[in-house]
Amino acid sequence: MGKRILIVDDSSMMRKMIAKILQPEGHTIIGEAKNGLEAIDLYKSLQPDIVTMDITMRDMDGLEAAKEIFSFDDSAQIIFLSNLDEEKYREEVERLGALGFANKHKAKEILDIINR
Amino acid sequence: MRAKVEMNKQDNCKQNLKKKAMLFFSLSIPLSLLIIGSMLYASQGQSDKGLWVALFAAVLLLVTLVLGSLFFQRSIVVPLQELCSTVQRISNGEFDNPVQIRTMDEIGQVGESVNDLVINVQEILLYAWNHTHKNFTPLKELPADPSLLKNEIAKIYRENENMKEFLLTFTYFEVKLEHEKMVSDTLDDSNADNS
Repeated sequence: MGKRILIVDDSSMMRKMIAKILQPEGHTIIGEAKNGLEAIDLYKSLQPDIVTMDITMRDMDGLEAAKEIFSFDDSAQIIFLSNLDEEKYREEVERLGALGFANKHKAKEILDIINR
Repeated sequence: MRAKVEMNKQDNCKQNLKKKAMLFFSLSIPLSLLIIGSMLYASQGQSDKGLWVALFAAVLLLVTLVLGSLFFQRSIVVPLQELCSTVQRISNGEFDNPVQIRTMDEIGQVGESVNDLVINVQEILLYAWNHTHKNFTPLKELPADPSLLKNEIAKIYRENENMKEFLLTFTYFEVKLEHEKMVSDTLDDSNADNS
């Protein structure tokens, strides 16, 4: 069944690419945000099933935004997407309680995480 | 309907500077006409009333011009100079200093769009960096065992496919990527017209 997804990434091209991967699989992109602050506002108003979250963003990074989202919704489903070193950040992401971590440059891994 | 929090879309382009410019012209032009009219009236020599009106209008016009000049300097010249110097640094490959957005008028929105463009360019460069790193690592230590070699080659192939997917997301100027080739958009169209 298709999920309602909020895409968070400061790069408009990455948002477009992630949407291009998710939409053919039946998922609906209900919102897009370019930093953590916008992600929190949109999460509150749209209540997505899943959030794809970039880590490095201006104004507020993805880890801070995820902590804030988990503070008011501990059942939030957040998948982190990053081109940063996976070994270094995977542990922190899992400690936060995220659904998973995927490399931005292998964005199709998001589908595996969603389908798990 | 998708909720987008993007400030740099053309259809959302604010027109704050345009409104302020219209306000400036809507004050200064009538005041100028009033001065001219009052001076003409005063030149008839019938009373001093015209002169006083002209003087009053001239003072108002002077205030408008001074305020207009200050506004022009602060809201247009200085931000444009900052934008210009930042864009020059960006064009030299220095992506670590984004445009400072002080107001969300037309110039602020240009700055925001420049920052968005830089983020996208950086994404491409980081992708390329990751791609070369991931491909060269197995190439440095090619195993002798053919089955292991096949695995390493398959990894390199997948990395290339990921890169191609990413690059196909863009819309290029007068070029299109199709069937493993890079072809000219304009030459193909003109050949089609001629035939």
